[in-house]
Amino acid sequence: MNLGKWIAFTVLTCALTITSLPSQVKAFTARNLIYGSEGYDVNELQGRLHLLGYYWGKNDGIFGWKTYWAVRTFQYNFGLPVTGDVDMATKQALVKATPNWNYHMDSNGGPNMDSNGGTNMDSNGGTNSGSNAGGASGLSPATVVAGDGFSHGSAGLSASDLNLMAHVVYGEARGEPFEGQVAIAAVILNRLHDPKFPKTIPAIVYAPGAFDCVNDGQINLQPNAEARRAVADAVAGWDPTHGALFYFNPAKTNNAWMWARPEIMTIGHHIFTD
Amino acid sequence: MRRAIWWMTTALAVVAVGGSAYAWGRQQQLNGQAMAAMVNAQYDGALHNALADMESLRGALASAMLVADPVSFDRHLSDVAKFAYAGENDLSRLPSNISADHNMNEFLHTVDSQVEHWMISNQNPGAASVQQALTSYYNRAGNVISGLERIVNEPRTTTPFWTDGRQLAPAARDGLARLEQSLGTMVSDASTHSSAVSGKSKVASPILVQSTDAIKRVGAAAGVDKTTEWKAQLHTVGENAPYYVVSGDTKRGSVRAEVSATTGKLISYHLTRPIGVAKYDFAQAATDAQAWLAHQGYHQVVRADAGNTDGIARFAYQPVISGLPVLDSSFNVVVALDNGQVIGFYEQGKLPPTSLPKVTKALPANALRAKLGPKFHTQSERKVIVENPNGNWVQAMAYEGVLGDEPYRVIIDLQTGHELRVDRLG
Repeated sequence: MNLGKWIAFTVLTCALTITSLPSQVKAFTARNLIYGSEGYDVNELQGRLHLLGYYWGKNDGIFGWKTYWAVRTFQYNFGLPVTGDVDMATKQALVKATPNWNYHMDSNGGPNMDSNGGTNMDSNGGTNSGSNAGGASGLSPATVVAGDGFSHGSAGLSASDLNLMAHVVYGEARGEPFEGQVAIAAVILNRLHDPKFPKTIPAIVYAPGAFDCVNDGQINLQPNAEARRAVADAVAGWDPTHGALFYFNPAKTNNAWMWARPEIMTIGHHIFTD
Repeated sequence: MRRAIWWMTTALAVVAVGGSAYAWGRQQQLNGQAMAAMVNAQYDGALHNALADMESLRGALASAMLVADPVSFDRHLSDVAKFAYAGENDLSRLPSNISADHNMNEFLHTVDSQVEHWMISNQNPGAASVQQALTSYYNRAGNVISGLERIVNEPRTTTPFWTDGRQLAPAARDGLARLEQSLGTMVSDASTHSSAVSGKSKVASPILVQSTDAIKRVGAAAGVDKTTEWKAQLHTVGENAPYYVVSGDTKRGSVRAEVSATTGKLISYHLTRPIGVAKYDFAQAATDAQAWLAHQGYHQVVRADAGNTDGIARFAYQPVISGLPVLDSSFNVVVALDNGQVIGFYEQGKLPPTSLPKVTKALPANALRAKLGPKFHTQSERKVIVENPNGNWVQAMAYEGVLGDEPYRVIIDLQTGHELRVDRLG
């Protein structure tokens, strides 16, 4: 009988300890947070700012513009240097201002829960955790890839524009050196900025006869990570073609005016022309 | 008897197989013809739409020339922009591989940009330069209409006019090519509007940097002392020419970089190596990227954007001139998040101004804020340097905030109060 009471007491104590754990262990980690950070540190940041009335967006674990503005307002009101970056002083002030906060207060019940109730997995199979330094997996507000495509736009281009470019790069230049893949994306961007061509990425890509991969259906192949990286680098400003508007594979074309174009350079199997 | 049955059976089998093959082939042929007919109809539709829009454009240009009232003038300019844009869309649905000229598209783009600029700057309808440009556009629109009409009125037969499903028909190809050539380029109108499409000069500059210096420059960027095996190849064609392409191997991977042969500046830098599991702190990577930029000589910069792709962080930094960030110019630094190493650097946009653009008389803060719509909730405002539609650097006020749930940035010229552009953020 005594043994039974002891077991019951032990179980009760353990249960109470476990239920009180989240508010203690789900605290900020040591890393600083900036625009572009992600992970459950950012979930906590958004949750605490929401509790104080500074943040009104979705608790998605992504440090975007709304989180940035909320941090700046909080820093201003609490006499901290207004940087928009979350350093140790900001975290301490935030924790002090929200002593009763815990993950259960947030509508989604904690860090990035997926439909199966588990935490979001990154491409390497790890969770998007605060201890995952830098939150280098999953989503972020700028040029972002989630799984099989860009989920956010960048540099004035929408996510669908970037994904379409990745399809063209993969369809036209898979197997080419990385630089050659960036070059295809750069040609599309050069056309976008040239008055002789249509004003949108879809209009450029789907202009009849503009790209072979559209004609033969290879544009519909699923691009790989390398093609997406090539698009991201081209959007970031890398133009290995130095302003080329056209390119062709000399082994596959006998188009006279294409051959007559002034050549800028050859990368892999493609000649890039003005 | 048995032999006769055998022959009859064989004959029937041959007829059955042959008939099936013929039926299948005929069906394929009909399908191909139907597809070709559909494509031809779409091309014809785009051509007729282009002609209709071009006629409307010419009418709107005429209307703009016929009035002196600013309100009416603006209304007609708005029509011109609308029809020019519609015309560009129509042309984008026609075969584009018939000519590299694309003069029609360039013409419509120039008209669209120019009238937009006139509307923003409240251009006087009676100004001589405006009337001259309108007359030029009107005449060119007439040329385009004549050329399009010739193709539209080309006698159609049962043979597909545009394509048989495999290649473009000579009549259509030659018609469009003739039209492009007859239109000529817009070079003669360049003085009326300086396009802001590209900040990179196409004029080749003198070669003032030796290849050995270019290699040293890249070696310093990569943090490598031993570069004896590295190569530098001079390129004299293309934007930013002349420049060296420097390539070499390091312990961590292979480097490919470009260095201006005129200024010795690093144009681009890329280190190719396998990327491991991301474990480096993102905020620390941003700090490292800024330190790397400072090491390259870019001390006055501010972080403007950040994100990551497949374990690679990308940070955009804008140059700061006299305390103001230059929005249309950026240095992009790529950092591998496995160990925090910088693996890429690219310049983007125009070269920043060397000094602060002058403002003779700035509008008061209240007058600038009054330019914002009532539904826009401003979160922050700051002075910035941006490029105006004329391609000149100007001081402006950037208002960042939300419309509903979406973050936006509105940029207003500090001196004229004109809205320069609206950016959707994130």
